[in-house]
Amino acid sequence: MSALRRLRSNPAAVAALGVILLLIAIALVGPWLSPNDIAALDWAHVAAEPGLVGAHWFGTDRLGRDLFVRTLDGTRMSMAVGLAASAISLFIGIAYGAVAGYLGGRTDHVMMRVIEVLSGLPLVFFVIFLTVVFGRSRYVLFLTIGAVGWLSMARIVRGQTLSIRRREFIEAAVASGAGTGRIIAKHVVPNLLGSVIVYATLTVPQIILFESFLSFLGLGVQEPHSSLGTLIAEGAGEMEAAPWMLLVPGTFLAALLLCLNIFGDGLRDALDVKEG
Amino acid sequence: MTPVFAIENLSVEFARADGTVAAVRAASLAVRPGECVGIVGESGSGKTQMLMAAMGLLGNGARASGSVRFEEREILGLPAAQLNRVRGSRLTMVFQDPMTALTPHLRIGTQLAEVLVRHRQVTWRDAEQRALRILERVRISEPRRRLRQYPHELSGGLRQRVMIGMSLLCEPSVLIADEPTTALDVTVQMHIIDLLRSMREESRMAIVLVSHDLGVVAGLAERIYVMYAGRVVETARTGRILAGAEHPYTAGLLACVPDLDAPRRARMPSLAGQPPDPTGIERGCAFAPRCERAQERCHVERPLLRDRPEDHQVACHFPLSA
Amino acid sequence: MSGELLEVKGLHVRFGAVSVLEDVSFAIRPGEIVGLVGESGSGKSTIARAVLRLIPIASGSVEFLGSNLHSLGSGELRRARRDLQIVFQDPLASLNPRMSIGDALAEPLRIHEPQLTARERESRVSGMLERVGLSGDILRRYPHEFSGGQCQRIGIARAMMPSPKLLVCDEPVSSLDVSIQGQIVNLLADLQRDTGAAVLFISHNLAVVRHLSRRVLVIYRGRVVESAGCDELFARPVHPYTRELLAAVPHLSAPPRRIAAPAGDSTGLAPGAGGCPFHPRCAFAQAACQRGVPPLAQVRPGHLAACHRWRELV
Repeated sequence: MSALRRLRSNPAAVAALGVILLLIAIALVGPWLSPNDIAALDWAHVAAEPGLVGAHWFGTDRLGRDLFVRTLDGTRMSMAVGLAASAISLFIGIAYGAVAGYLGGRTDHVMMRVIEVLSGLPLVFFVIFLTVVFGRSRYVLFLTIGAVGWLSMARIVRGQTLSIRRREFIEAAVASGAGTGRIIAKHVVPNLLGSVIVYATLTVPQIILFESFLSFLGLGVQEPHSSLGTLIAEGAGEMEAAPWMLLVPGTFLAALLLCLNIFGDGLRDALDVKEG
Repeated sequence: MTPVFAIENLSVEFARADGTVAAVRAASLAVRPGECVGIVGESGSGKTQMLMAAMGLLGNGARASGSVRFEEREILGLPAAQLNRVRGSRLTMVFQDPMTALTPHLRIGTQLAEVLVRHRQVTWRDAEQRALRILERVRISEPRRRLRQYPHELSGGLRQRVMIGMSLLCEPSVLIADEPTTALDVTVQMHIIDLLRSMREESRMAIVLVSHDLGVVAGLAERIYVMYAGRVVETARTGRILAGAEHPYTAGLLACVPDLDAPRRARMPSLAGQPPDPTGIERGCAFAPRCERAQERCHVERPLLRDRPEDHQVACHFPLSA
Repeated sequence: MSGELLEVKGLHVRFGAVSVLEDVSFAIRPGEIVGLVGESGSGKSTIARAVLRLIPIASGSVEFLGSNLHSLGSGELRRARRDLQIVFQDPLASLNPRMSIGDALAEPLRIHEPQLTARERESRVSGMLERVGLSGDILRRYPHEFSGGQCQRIGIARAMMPSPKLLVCDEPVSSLDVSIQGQIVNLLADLQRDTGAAVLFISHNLAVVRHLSRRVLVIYRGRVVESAGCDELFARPVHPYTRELLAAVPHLSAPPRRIAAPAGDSTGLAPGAGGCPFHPRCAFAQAACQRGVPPLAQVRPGHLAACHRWRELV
């Protein structure tokens, strides 16, 4: 596809994708390289600086836990949350938005009012509520963020659907006898995937950031696992004494977010030209 | 008489993902003061690209080489600042789709006045007066009301009249009309062509009229250039083309002009096949694959423009009269 | 039951407060080719969409194969759509840019003949492509890779897939070069002859309609103003608008015409206002023309015209 070619000729996007893949690779493979464990407490090297001692390449935290494996564990968690929650918002958002946009009229009206009501609910309280009810697990985290993230996705999809609906090939599909389901599935959705995927790529950083925020507040991932957010929360407290505790997870998060944004931009540029 | 507008050996090419496109290949044409010249060719023949190059309107990544002289000055490759002195005032262009050429959020009156204020340094009040007069000149009814309207409130035909009016504001010596009627109904088309004719009679303005429809061009132009695959393949005075076109492509185009007086034919005349892929390599005559008269030589050797009697040139190995 | 394939009676269509079609009536017999000519804004495309039930109608009826199309349930409507297909004006826009040609052509079969196997579908699709003059190896390609003329062939192929009894062509060649238009018109003529389908051919250009049609209807501002056999209409047009349409076709023999009247917008007089819709533009307009809408009168056998002064113009 020419879109792929265009993407390939965008050096920034390619580089960003490369870094993301590299981070994924490190996050998956890294822990095998280190003898340390995420929960192991090394009392001999508490709050140690990054170095070769005890294979604590990124140093340790207040409890002597190795920052290298913890950071990688956190990166894996943040990425998983980002991807899973995006996927969930994508599916729900596309289905909801495409149906609302295509059917129009009262159905659309009602469906959009529902979204508006849900948008009005404070996000954080909702997450707290779900966490209290279902307990703290990573799956709850995926679900809650995804369940909340679909709202804006649905709005975007509905907007796109409204303009796609007016195009002549939709009329052609109706004229050939296609039913509503077929039209939405085969004609509307494939034509909005381009912009939707781009939007999704750009929301992954937002989701990761949101998860970090929740973890920072103590709502997200539970011990002994960490996410970049929890690590940053811990590190923030130790900023003066042990700056690496903040810098290491912070750098990983910043790199991840930056590259996702750049890649998302590149993806949009590559797909845009093909539209219409 | 020196031409007021002359293109010589103009080539335009631009890079695309799948190869270099040679849109125009060494095309030449000349327009004398007050003359109306027609350029005919199917979509993709290069006629629009040629004129866009002449007006300095090519997109990024397009390269033009050759010469374009306007009022005896070379304008190809001029920087925008200098081009803008003639572009829009003495050398104007009307495009196929008036909706995209007019700014949707500005009133008609504002857009017209802007041209004058910019090029002629008149006051806004003066400019609005002249705008009103130009609308009358292009025979738009209720001109005062139209001045206050937005482009989307006008029909296609009216918008095109406004565009023509806009290009006449500074009394150009050359007006280029690129497929001005292609997007319009036949009845409106007739009015627009008639309008162009009147405008020419009133002033000594030269017109370059471009179309894929030979019928439209033949009604107005005194000399016709026929383009195919980026090259000029035939040129002569209109009367001569109509009486005896020499290039099989021109003859084919002529056959496609409807003749309502002739008895109804079951088959509508057309040209078989399609214009060649512009990224392809040129081998022999570009028209050969579609030509009924093509022979061995046509597929191998590209015919050059040769002179025929009475100021007539054809690029064909086996012209129809031979 | 009159044996007509399509019978449109007293059709009225409104977009909001604006009346777009007024009291349109005509019929198409099985296998007949009928031309419908009018300018932009005349409502001709609206007729196409009303006939296909792509838009709702205000009053009147569209009877197809004996049933009122606008009162069918969804199942019956789908079955009716099998026999009633359309070719659009903008060939590229009418094809789903994200659907391969093969899928686009197979879709009507999936909808109307779901019992077919994949192989049967593919063979039907390839066969149809050949019939419209395209090679079978384009199945996996996408619309943007083709020219306007080729896209229109694909559009025609798609419309013909379910073997419809009536093919509505809404300005099928208006966006194509003059030199290519004939290819498509001749293709439609061939397909019509081979399949016996009826065709409603809509255009703003009389010259194009002439080759194909047995009968021609002329529509102006939402009303049928003239209706006659093709040869009769071209040889002896009655309505002033038809004459103007004929004069507008650019041809090479006659010297160019001068136009006297200033150009108003043809949207000046809204349909639904009093009097003949054409009178502001009419060279023959009289006082009577402003008062009442002229009815379609029989000026000769098989030839109807809606003009107060038809007796003088015949």
